[in-house]
Amino acid sequence: MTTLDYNIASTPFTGPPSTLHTGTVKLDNEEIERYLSQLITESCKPLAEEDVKKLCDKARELFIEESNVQPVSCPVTVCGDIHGQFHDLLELFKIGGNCPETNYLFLGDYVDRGYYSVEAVTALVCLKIRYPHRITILRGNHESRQITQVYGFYDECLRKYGNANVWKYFTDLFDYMPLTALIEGTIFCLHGGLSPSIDTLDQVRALDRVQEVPHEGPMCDLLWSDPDDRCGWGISPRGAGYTFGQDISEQFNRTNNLTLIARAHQLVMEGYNWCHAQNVVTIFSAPNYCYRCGNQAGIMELDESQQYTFLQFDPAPRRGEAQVTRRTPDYFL
Amino acid sequence: MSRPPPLKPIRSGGETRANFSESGLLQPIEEDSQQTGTFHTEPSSRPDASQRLKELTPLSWSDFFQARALVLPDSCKGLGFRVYTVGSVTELLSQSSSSLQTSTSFKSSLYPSSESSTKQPLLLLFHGGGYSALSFGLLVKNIMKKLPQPTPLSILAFDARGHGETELENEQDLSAERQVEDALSLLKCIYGELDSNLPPIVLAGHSMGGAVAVRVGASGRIPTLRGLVVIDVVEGTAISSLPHMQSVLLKRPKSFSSVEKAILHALETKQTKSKESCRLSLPSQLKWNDEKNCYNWRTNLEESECYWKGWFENLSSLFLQVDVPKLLILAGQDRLDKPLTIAQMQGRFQLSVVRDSGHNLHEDQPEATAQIFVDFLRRHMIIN
Repeated sequence: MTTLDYNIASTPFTGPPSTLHTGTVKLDNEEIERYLSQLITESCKPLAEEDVKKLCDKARELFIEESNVQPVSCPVTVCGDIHGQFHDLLELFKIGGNCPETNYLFLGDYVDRGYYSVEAVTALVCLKIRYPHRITILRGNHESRQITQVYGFYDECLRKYGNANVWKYFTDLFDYMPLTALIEGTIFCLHGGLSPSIDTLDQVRALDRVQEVPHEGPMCDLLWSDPDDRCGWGISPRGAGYTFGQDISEQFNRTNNLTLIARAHQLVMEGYNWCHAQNVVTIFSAPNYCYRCGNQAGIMELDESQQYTFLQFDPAPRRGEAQVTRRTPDYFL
Repeated sequence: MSRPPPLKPIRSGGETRANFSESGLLQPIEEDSQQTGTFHTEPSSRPDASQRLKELTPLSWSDFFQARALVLPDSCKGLGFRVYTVGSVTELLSQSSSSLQTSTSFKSSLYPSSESSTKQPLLLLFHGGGYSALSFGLLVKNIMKKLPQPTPLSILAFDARGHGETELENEQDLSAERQVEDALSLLKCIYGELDSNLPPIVLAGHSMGGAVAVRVGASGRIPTLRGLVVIDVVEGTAISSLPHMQSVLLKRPKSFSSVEKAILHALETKQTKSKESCRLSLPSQLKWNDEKNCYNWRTNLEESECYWKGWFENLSSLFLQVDVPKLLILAGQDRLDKPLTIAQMQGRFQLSVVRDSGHNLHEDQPEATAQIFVDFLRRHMIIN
């Protein structure tokens, strides 16, 4: 049994009128509302392939205008990894409030691992187009052609559409997503962490981001790095990016007049976790990650005066997933 | 010292063809199997089948490794461990010593002018249950292809107790504890004491060998341990597969009339997708049975069941506990269990997935797997 009461019809209209969309792709609010309603109320039915294409073309026009360090105002609710857990994303909106009543900043990793990556990323992109100033979606390390071919999104697209077109539309779009955001000039938000090649936000602004996530270099680091208990820079055990110590975080925040770095990328059992003497916070918004980790999800609400409140939530009741069986190899000696 | 060849001498192409009558080709290649229909061929395709078997002649180890030797540690009795090497570790093996019973045959042209240094980093390879050191042949060749000359890396792969060409007393003891001791005594025999004079060491193992590699690493007895690589084995997934293993093993044919037919079987059942790797490693997984005039499996896996659980139990936590750079290479990302999913998502080790491969991913995709190895070794500055 499921009660998905994300009620589109009752959502007060606070976004800009559709005429403000000045791009070349024609996609009016009614059509977007229809997409959202199809995704959310009609048993999370994925959009038609040609609708996804239109959606991605439209979203690209929005992303291309955004900065590598996209300014965001308070109040806003900051969310971490989603990873294809679409039902939990709907739960997140229940807990945090619907968009646009609540403004949102998502820190990347919408796809892979969970079984509803198509629905999750489609819904977020729809919301971005419908309420471009109410929701910011950054790029995570999984918003990449290479990673999605291994961790599920590519296979899910093939399964749901019978071809890789939708995967191509989305991964082409991912290249345009902004890399970081800056809340009220003081909270630096991004998916992974800091880079030894970057000391200032202006250096982030100067990056040429419209490309596949590289294997190394500053853009890679921003999406892959992790804070660490050890001081200084370290080689990341992940195989990409770096680890950075408290000294690095403090220096970066001092240099750029920041109070906090808010990031995602790492599973934290309580859904959020402070480190580096409150210079860094990790937010992870996929409860019971991969349907097996038993973790809570967290989101960070920032009010008008940048006071934060953390909300935690557990997995949404779900349907259909019992049929998904994991293939075990037959030979294992 | 010399020893008799482990297999019935490989027949030449001509003899092979002569031995395959047309009726022979129509028989299932697995004499004991019930799956008779699988290998029936239409009359028109008979020449293809015979052609196919002709293309499945065994390959020699010497095209993939620099040397091979038998190494008998003091603590063991028998002929010793069959080891295959590349790099400067080869020189250590060739230095004649009473405790090192080597019968090294060099193929010096393969990886020329390897740097002479006992401190050269060593990659120690542990094969899976039922396989042999030669299952790493293609991987080793591909790793060496990606490294500069002179090679900055030594590699040693050995046939585990009860496997391949290793001949030891008490070869039924495949317990995790015994295999850990075997690996450590092998290192000790080659390098002397297990102290800080050892070269930097990276342990890498596949399946059962992955479990042993983790346990060797977790023993804390290699002071120069620099990395740990595990190929397609995860505790949760392995333990849940074990109840089905006996029936998987039962489905295997018990005997083959020729090495080529065993190779064909491995390919047909997609146990290993690479023809080249099958041709190299399958022969050492078989032994000639004089009484029955056929090949049987070298390793009696069915009888090792009492050890299986001991290989895999507590493996995830031991893996995470080893405090060196760690790499887990899987054939599919859904093979992670809960502790490793959490740890991976916390960035505590590197996970790499090799697409379009089965459990023997280093055989199915040796080039891609070699690239993952080399990137890992370079990233952690084990080699330049």
